[in-house]
Amino acid sequence: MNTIPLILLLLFGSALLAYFVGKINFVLKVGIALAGLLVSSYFFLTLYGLSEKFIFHLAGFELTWQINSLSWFFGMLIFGLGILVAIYSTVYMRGKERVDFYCFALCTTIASMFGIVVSGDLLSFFFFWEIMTWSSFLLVIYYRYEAQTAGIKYFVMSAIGAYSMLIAILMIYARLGSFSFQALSAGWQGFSLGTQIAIIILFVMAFGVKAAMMPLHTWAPEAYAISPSSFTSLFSGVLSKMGIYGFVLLFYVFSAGKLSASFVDIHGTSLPGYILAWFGALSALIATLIAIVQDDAKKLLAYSSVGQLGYIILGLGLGSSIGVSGALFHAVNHTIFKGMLFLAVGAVFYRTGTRKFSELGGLISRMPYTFFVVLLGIITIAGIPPLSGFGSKWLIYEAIIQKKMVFLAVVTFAASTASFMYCYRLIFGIFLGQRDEKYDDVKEVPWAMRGPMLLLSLFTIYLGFYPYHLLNLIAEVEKTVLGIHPFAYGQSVLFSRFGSVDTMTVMNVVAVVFVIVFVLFSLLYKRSRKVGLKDIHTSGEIPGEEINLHYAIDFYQPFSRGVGAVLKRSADRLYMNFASNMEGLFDMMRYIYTGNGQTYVMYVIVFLAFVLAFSSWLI
Amino acid sequence: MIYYVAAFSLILIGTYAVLVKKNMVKIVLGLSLIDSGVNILLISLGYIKGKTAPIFSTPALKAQNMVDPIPQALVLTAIVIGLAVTALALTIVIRLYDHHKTLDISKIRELKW
Amino acid sequence: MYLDPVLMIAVPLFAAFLIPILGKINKNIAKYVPVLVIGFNLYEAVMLLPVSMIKPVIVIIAAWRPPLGINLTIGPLGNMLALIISLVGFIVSIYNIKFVEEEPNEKFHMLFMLLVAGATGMVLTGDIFNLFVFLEITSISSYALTAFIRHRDSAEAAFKYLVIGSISSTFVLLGVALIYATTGTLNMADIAQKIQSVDPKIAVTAMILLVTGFGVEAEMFPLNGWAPDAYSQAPTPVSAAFGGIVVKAGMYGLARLIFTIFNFHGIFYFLLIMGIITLLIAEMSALRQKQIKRMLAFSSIGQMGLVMMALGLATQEGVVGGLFQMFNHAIIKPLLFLSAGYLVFYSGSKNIEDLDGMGRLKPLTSFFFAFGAFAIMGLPPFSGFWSKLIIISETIRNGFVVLAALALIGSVIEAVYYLRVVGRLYFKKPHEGERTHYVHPTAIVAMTLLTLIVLFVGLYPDFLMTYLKPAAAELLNKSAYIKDVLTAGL
Repeated sequence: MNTIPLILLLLFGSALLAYFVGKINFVLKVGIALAGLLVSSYFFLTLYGLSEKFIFHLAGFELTWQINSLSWFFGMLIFGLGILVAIYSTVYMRGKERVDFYCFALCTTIASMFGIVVSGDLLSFFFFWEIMTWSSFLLVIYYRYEAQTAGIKYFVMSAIGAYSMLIAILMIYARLGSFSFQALSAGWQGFSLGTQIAIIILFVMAFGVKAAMMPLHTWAPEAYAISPSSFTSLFSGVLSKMGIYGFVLLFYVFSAGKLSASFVDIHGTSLPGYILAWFGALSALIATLIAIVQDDAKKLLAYSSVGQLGYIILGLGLGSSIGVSGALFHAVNHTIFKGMLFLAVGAVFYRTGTRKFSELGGLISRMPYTFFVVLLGIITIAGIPPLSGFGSKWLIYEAIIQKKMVFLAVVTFAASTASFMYCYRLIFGIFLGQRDEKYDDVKEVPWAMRGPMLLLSLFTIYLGFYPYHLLNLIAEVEKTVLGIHPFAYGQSVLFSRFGSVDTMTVMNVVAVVFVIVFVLFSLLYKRSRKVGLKDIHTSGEIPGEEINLHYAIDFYQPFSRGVGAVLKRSADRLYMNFASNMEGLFDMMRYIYTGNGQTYVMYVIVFLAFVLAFSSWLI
Repeated sequence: MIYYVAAFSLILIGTYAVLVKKNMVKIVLGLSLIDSGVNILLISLGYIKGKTAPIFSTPALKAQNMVDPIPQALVLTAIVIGLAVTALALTIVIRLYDHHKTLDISKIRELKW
Repeated sequence: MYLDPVLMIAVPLFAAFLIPILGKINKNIAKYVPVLVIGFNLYEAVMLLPVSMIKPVIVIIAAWRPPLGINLTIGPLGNMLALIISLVGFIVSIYNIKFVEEEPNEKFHMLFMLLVAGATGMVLTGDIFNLFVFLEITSISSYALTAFIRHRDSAEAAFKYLVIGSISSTFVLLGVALIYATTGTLNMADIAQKIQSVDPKIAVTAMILLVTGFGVEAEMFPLNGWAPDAYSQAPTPVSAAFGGIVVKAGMYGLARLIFTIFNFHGIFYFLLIMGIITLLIAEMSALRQKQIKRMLAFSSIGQMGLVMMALGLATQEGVVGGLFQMFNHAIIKPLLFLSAGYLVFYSGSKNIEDLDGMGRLKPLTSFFFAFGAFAIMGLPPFSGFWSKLIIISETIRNGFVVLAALALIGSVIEAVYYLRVVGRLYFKKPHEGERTHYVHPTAIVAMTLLTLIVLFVGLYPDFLMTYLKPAAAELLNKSAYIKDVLTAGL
């Protein structure tokens, strides 16, 4: 039997099985989900390096499922994080209600994402895309009461995106008579310029919504914040990558890299790519600024996610090998660090029941492992050596500089610098500062939750040492699928035209410095005096009520004052106003139905008279 | 010709009643009038002046001397249907009157929008 | 092996009038008669399917060969619709066994059987006057069923429905009269042949009269004023039957007229435009409805607008999409109505607000409702996906990108109001209050059956498509239809 349908069948099957059989007890549902994932990921691993195709007919359409290096690359992210999340859920979801429902939706989401990456034609792509939308919608609304508006917003924006994609797909089908990617890339140049523009815009709408690209991101903060943390890490880490996967397909597979044939080039990038790059860069900047002022840890991470996806989109838009590699590398990094951070925030929530910085603080001594994970996570997110985040950001900057896009570079650097601020807020707000007494006996989370987080941390360290393992994979993707000539890189060296950086050296230096500092610290430690967390000096004065003693409240207040004016203009409010106005307008329609029977008869007679009057048009 | 005029005037009068009259009984009457008008129209379609009923009672009768029998069969059916509709309509009107204590259709509009 | 197809009409008619007598003997027997009889119809429709797919089955009654005499013409289209009607009728009558406890119990079953008999007659007959008669049987039983509950609103809805319905059937009769006067025949195939030589002005007038008449049953805007009231006030199984049976028969009449009998191409554009208008206005009206069944009624109108749009494309694929959508609607809308009705029954209120928290109190029924909502929105892997896909695809292929975009906007609106209701079911805290604690196993069976059909068709649409393709071909290839009918019995 062909492996791809087998994997899909296993995943969807375990979803259903977890739902129905899982009614019996907790271990069974999570166990089935996990077992299904593990078995199917084994089959997935056997697909490495192969290019299989599975063609069949359904409802009169030819559908293709295929695996190539690109789909394997994204499949790796899906299964990698998927399994870790499932393991994490075994503890995180314990004792919660409707776990069978959760397992069902989680497995279906994973299955549909895998379906998306193995789709070899637009129809199955759309099919799985829609399944992914509703199954993730089910997870967003898991916590019932608060989640309704966030859920509907997510669903409606996804639906608008999906339907615009559907129009694009069917426009292509109407012209080519086939849904397959191959036919599309062959026929792309036959399209008129107007068609090309329409198709690109419609697809960007769909992928932009899923990748939370500004200004289509407004669903993301609420949906991320409200969904169960175990799923949020998958949501942000992998599901949003499906939007990225879509962008990769659109710019390098559908158009077969021939975008510049019909559009002007700007700095060696085709116009659509250039515009996309700007969208990415602005997403990165604005989302970062908004992230800084958030009080809710998950909202902060959500905006940070929007920003980081902006980098990836930026890299993809640039189009050079180094940019695309940077983007794909960053995609992997993003999966890893967002996975880590959301899981860690989930772990904090699991123990304390809150995600607000103003209520947390000082957990470092209580949850040291989680602290360590968050520390590594923010180092990666900030792109500081020696962890893997450095490599990918380096590549993206390098790509911008190579293209000599000065303004883009300025925006990107600004965003990158600003992101330090939210990184610091994240770790400070939760782990440093003062601890509330009620959290004094908080314990570290169980190993089943610690394990996945620590494993992800290992990955980021590992990729910090050996980025070329991943770059090999990316180069393979570029060569075989994307049609881009991969740039040169060494064993552990990243080149640029200003010089090169050897990750090995960096890592060694860091390690040595770390050891020296650690040793010094251990030696000098005995002479230091231990200060309690609450031991705040107010210079002899008795603090009044109005003096704020919790640092996390009004954190970055001057900054908020500075950029507050900018942040007030929210795209979200604009959309909501538009939606409610439209709804009011649409609602006028029902007054046609006046309730008077005679009026209805009048409609019938008028209709008849009207059509009879214009009957000559029908002949 | 006179039949057609009669038929159409019945239909028009009925339509007028249905559209303008507020009293539901009059509306039902209007429906009945429309029905009768259409029935007359149907009958007159098959009627040929001076011809006899389409029954072969004596061998001398030829088919070309008879009126078209089909419209008559149709009209019989239509009359029965019209009767059923009228009866049902009046039942509903009675029930509406019981509930609302009025026969004015413009006052009975609780279901709207 | 199938029996004489005439029995598909005769048996329900006979049984319908037998029910009051049976009811005198034993009240309980009357309940099971519809299940058996419509089950028989279902069996017939299934057994006829392989035969009629190859060549239409023409039933000649009393040895009068067409064009004389009344004949039944069971082509792939008529057979598919008869199948849909008897399938929905069968499932709804299973639901009825326990649900309809109100008196007069037997009369309800009798009227329901008349409804099914009339609708089956409409889709099987080959005679245009017969079409009118069956239309009247269907509508009269619908009026009576709408007024079945002794409530002031039911009577009001029924009266409106009756007035609009009988005006429209007058138009149908006028149209038939006009056709008979000019062609001298009532057989549809014969009319189709002879209408070519008729003055197009008269022919188009006849067509408009007929289209208006059938448009009322097919819920075309602005002829659908009856629909929201009747759907919302009729007993739940009847609302389901409206969506699954009456409207389908009306739509069949419309399609048969414009495709087979008349020969005007302008009507297809007309239908396309009316379809999109119907769709948009209905979806917009549904957006802020307060009563759940009224909302579903508007949604039903919207779906029929989509069907009209698909039929208006008048291409093989488009018609297949339209018929597919008709099938889906006939399955999903009863599912929604039955589950919503069950929830309404349970909460004791028709308002959407009072359904808060039903997901907790009635998990299974709420699940059915949510499932139906997802299916009708056209999400994969449910059956609604394929029909919407085919219709939109065909609309775009014919160059009507704007129409496709408008239809999709309608879908977005649809998603909003369905999700709001589903949200209320699951996310709000239930109200305090009295509830009837009453379990209907048969209702659960009926809804489960519908759910399984939705899922099966969604996962394996080809099964249905093999039968829909000949049905669409029958509509588009009128000369074959004429030939088949007029050479029958030779």
